[in-house]
Amino acid sequence: MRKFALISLCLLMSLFLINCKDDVAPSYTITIEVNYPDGFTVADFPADVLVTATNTNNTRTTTVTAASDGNAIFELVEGNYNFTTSFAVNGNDGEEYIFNGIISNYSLISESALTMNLILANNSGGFILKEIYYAGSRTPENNGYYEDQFHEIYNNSGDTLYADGLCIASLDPNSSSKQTSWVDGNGELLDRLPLIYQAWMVPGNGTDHPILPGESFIIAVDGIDHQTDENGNPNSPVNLGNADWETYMEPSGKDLDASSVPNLTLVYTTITTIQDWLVPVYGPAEVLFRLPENDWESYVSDANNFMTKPGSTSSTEYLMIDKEFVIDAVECARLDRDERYQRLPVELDAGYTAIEAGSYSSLSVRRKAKMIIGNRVIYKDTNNSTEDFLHDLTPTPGVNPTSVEE
Amino acid sequence: MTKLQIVLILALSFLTAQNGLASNATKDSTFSFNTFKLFQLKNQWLNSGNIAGLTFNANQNIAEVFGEYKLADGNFRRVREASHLENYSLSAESYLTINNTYFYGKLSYQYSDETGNLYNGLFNPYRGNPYLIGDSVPGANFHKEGFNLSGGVAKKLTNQLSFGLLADYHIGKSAKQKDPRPRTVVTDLLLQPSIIMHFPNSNLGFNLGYRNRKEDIEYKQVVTDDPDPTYFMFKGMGFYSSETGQTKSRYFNQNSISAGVQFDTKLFDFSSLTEIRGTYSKEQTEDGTNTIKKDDAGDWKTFQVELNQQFTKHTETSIQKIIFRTSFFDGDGIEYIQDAILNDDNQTEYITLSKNLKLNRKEFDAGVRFDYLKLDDHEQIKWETTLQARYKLKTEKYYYIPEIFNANYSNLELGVKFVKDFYFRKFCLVPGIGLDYRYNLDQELNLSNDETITRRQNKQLYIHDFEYHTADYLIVSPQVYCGYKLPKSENIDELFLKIRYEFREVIDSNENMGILTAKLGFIF
Repeated sequence: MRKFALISLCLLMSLFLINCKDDVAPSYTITIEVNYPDGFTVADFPADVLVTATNTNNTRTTTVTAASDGNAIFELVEGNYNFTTSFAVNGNDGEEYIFNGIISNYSLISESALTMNLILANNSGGFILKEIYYAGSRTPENNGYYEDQFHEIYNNSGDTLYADGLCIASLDPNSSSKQTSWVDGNGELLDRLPLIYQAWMVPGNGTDHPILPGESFIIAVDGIDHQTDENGNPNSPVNLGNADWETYMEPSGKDLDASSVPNLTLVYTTITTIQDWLVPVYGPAEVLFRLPENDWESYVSDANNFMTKPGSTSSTEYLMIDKEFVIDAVECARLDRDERYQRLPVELDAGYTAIEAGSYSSLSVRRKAKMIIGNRVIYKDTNNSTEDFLHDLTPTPGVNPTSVEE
Repeated sequence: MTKLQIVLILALSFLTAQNGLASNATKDSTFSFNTFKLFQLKNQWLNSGNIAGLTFNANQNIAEVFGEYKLADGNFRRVREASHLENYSLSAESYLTINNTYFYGKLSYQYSDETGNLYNGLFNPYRGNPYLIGDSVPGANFHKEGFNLSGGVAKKLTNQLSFGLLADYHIGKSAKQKDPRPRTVVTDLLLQPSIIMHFPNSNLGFNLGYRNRKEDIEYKQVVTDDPDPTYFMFKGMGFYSSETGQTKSRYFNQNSISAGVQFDTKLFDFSSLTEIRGTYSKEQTEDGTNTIKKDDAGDWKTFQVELNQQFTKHTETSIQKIIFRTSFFDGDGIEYIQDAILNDDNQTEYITLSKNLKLNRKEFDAGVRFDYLKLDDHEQIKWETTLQARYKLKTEKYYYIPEIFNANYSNLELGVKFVKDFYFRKFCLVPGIGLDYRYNLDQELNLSNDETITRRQNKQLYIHDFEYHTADYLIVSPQVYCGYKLPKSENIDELFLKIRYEFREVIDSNENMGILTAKLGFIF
């Protein structure tokens, strides 16, 4: 019993000692070296390049102007960060060159120096995803309604383009909060992109569907007036009865086929039972692309163009497309999760857009009007959706803004 | 545990206690009103953490069984507390002596309905841990059930040594009655061995303690099928992260160790008991079931040291008791920085990169209480009064780095209570009134106005709770106790009914809270 007393006393004394203090989060210096792609030198470096660090743990951002040697020096508290930059340089040839850079999910736990390789944006013009309404709306009963989703595809070039053979799909995973397993041994995204749910194509022989400069076409999930149709949702913000195309999911046997709106061709689906094209309401990574020679049947008949998900036991085969096939792409992030993983390679989209109001908010994302020449709007397309897009807008399918937007 | 099981256990305990008392103990011929209260007052070791102090009990078997109804309603409350509460409870508490072995037992069952709580998925959100979880759905009812079982045993092994062991077990369940609804299960176990060494004019006690508390929260949707309910994971000072999803789960695991030393002796005409007690606790929080994530919460490490001093003087005509209590509390919130990686099976796994101090809370508490009970022939209380004063200082810091936000305040509380006992043969009527006043001496709240910082902070919630803690208020609490003494032939000695109403009114504000409690019970 004396031992018991001794133990009690010792424990009491040691309790004072156990309560040792942990350290407050330290800060570290991190140098980001902004590195031009081949063919450009640091001598071309403009004076006002801003590099932004976003702490993914608390979303706080810190912006630093890079010095003339291309180095941006941050003093940041320990944590996980994304570093981004986007800027334009006017070349001697009179052209505007847009550079994007991104370093994702860097864990800052000591003094560090990183190189941010810039990507020259390929903004040669062409078809762009002008407006995406993926969030859906809520019914009067407060249920989620996503059948009123649409995409508007716009000819941002000065030439007549043909929609024939143009394909559209979303990438796996279906949310930016999920870490993608489509990576190589170094953790880098594969050069081939996995398409989830359905991939669609505009039918035609190559010149059936001309789109003039400054014109667009609308792809509806269901081509009906969602506000008045008995199968619609009176709370929906859109009438898609006059959409140009509809994604009719014939294999399910459950989809509504609006007779007044022609159907896109279903190229491939990972799920045949679902009644509609499933554009993730949390935020898709959308790609607009063309298959080689617009020959989808040959492409999907080649087993080499399919993969099962790495690390998964599921036998689901995903259609893979080369990132070189992509004409335009937009990363739509899920903001209600701290984790944010880029599904698109940086050269396709160095940023992201998002609906801050969340799913079923009846709001859309749309590119900013960069220039208006006469009646024709030229939309911003720097391959950085953070810079290019406005978000949380009331959807306006087929309508162009009348003033330039920042 | 179902309600039926709990009621059965209580009924069984009641019968066991009744039979035990009836068969093993001789009725105290000096039985009078207030026996249970006087019994506890006379042994000051019962107010310590040393269960071996049961050996100082009078050689008397006594038990109390009561049911209690509590109704609280008002707007002076913290955000996560109810604006309307109804609580029903059944309790049984007893002290027994069998063959020089002293027993203590307590059983209780509580059931409550609460409305008005916001941002809460926990059984008890104000127990100190700053890492809380809640959802944004208002207007829901909360059902809570709790079951407590305490058992203590003590024996004088020799003239120089006594040994005791206390075990305490609590299980609680709560569920919000609106989707997304958290189903929360709490289990809490305490083991506390103790010894007392007896010397001619003094006694020296030691005790150790180990406590394990677990809380499991599982958010589910039962009626609705909302694809995107939002969950808020709070981190202290209103900072939070959030996520949406069909389900959400969180798990708390707390381990505490404690040690205490007690010393009693005679000082002038007073019995003195001095106790110093230290408790170290670490509570860890995990989110998820298959993939465990820690960076939406943190570890809550606390250390508390308490010094209690009791002086008791018992004469034929009075009991005087003076209690000094002081405590110092230091709590650190340690938050994680984690990175999600794909493991070899291509499943997401969170690895910890670092852990840092983010929140520090310090509390200093000091109070003195004086009870004077005027007696008639040792056992009959004629009147009693209580005077008390308490000083509380609390500081809280959140290290956002480079900014540091802080909240500090200090309060002084004063209280007085007077109770008069009237006896009418077998019936007693004891009206009383208490007055308590809290005065805020000092306060400082330093939060950011920078939108890049506050967009992940619910300032409104934190400020509301801060104002609750710093409000000046007055409490008026009238009460009445009615007792009826039964004939000696009955197993039950006394029937009692106690009704108390507490009205808490904030000075210079429309906020108030009214609490009514009615207690009906028996003393054996």
